[in-house]
Amino acid sequence: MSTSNDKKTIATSASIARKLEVLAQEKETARQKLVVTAKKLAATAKENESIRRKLVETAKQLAVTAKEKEVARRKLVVTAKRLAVTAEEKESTRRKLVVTAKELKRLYGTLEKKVLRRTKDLEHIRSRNEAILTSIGDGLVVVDKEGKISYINKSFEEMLGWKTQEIIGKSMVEVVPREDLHGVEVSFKERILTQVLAGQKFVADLTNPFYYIRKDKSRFPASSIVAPVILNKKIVGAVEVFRDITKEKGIDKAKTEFVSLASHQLRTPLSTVNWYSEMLLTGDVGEISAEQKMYLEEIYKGNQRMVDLVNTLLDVSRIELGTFDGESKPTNIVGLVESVVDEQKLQVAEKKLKISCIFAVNIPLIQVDPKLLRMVIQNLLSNSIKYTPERGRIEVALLLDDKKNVIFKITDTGYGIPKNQYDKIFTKLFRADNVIGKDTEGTGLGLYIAKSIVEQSGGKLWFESEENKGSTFYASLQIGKPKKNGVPANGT
Amino acid sequence: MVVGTRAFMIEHMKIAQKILIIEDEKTLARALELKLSLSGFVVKTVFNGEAGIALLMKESFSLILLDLIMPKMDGFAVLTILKEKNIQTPVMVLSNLSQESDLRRTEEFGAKEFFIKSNTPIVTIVERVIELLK
Repeated sequence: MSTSNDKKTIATSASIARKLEVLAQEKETARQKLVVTAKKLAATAKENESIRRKLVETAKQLAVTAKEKEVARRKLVVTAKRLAVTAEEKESTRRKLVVTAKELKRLYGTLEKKVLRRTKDLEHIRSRNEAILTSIGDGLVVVDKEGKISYINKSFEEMLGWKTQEIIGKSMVEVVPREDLHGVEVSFKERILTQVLAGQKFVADLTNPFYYIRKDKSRFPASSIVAPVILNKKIVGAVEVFRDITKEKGIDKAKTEFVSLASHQLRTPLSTVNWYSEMLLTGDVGEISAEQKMYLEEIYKGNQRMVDLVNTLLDVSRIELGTFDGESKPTNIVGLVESVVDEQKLQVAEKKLKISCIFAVNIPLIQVDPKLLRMVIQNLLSNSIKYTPERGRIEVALLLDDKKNVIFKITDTGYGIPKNQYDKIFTKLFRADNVIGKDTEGTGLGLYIAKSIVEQSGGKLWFESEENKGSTFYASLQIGKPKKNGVPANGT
Repeated sequence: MVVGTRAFMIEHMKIAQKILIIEDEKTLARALELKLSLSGFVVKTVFNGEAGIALLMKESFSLILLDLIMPKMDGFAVLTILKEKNIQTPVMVLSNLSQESDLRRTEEFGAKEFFIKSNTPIVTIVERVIELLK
């Protein structure tokens, strides 16, 4: 057994050795292979290292790029954000614009409507104004600053016989001549239109009537108002309005003719009675007896009263008709009163009246028609004389009131006016019943005339009175320019 | 008085002066004619303006007494013609008109005097005539 075992063991060991050898060989091969592989691996590692490095490099570069990209991205983000905001704003603006546009469209529509409406309105107003201008009953002409006609109305055409197209652009003063009341042509320089355009006159008054000459050379009496057209403080033209005063003149003429006719008709027979009784009295046709003379004197006196009455009545009609053609001028009222007092001193003496005059100092001249004022003072003084019993007193005074009016005051110690007749005392033809029996000469016209005259010249007439004690009459007279004569005292 | 006036006339006016009365109211014309003749004037009377002008063309007068309101041709027309024909005879207007405008019109024609007949004694007129023709 052992030898076998040994043998077996040697065989086995040999086998193992061989196997080990094979293994070693295999290991060597493997090692060699491993070396090769290691070498290969080293090479690969090298390559890898190189690649890694490259990769690192690339990575680094990528990192840089990435950073830049990040930056860029961030920027983009910011920009994007901004853009987003802008876009939002834009959107909002756009929306607003849309709204505005809509609104504008709406407004435009409204505006257009309004403009249309306004234009219509304006057109309406314009044609209405034109119609008004055209239809004014007075003649109307508008001129530019050179006096060239730029508009005339229908009345102008009708009154003067010119058509618009014939005279537009022509000189008014040349086309339409003016004559004064004596038929003398008014020169270019004297024409109111010329003066208004030159700024010398502002408004021409109506008180200077004249004649306008028509296209056919006929003429009509006219009065006009010319006023400058002022734009930005410069005279750019003038407007003239004129009217045909033929009718007014006709009325004035008729009034004057009435007074003339009345004068003539009433005074002629009175003149006859006057002159013939006068001739009888002076013995022109033979001697007359004392008795005849007495009778004749009665006739003469009666006729004289009639003459006075007619004169007074004529004055009344002229005052009422406004045809007193006297003239207002600066009048010395002190002198006037003195002369009236002087004129009636005979009557004062006859009744043994005491008359005194008190005149304030500095009584100015007053603008009045001296003839009419004389009539007032004559009437008031003769009333005082007439209605004051013998040996009575009359005091005449001229004063100035606080408004600088001149006051004529006359006080008497006469019969006075009964209280119940105060309101009638200025009535035409009225005579207070306490004097009718005492004096037959009154006409009841004196106070009516006096009051009418004073009031027409812008003054006042009033009185204070007590029966059997006396009366005081006051007339307050304006110093300045009185109203023009011609306003009737009442509606008659 | 009357005798005195006549004596004055005879003494001072060797050649009687001629006066023309133009007045349509015959009674008034006659009164004037009578008075003025008594004062020694030679007086001719016509009753309207037309006749007055006709006479003035033939004869010359020292003075014309002229009424205003007359038929055919009134006093204003007479004054106008006198002016046109340059007849320089002085004119005294005797009228019963008394409006300021009438007075002014006659003055413009150069009338020397204006009397309102009813308000003027005839003797005043005669005195004024004598004064004017002195």
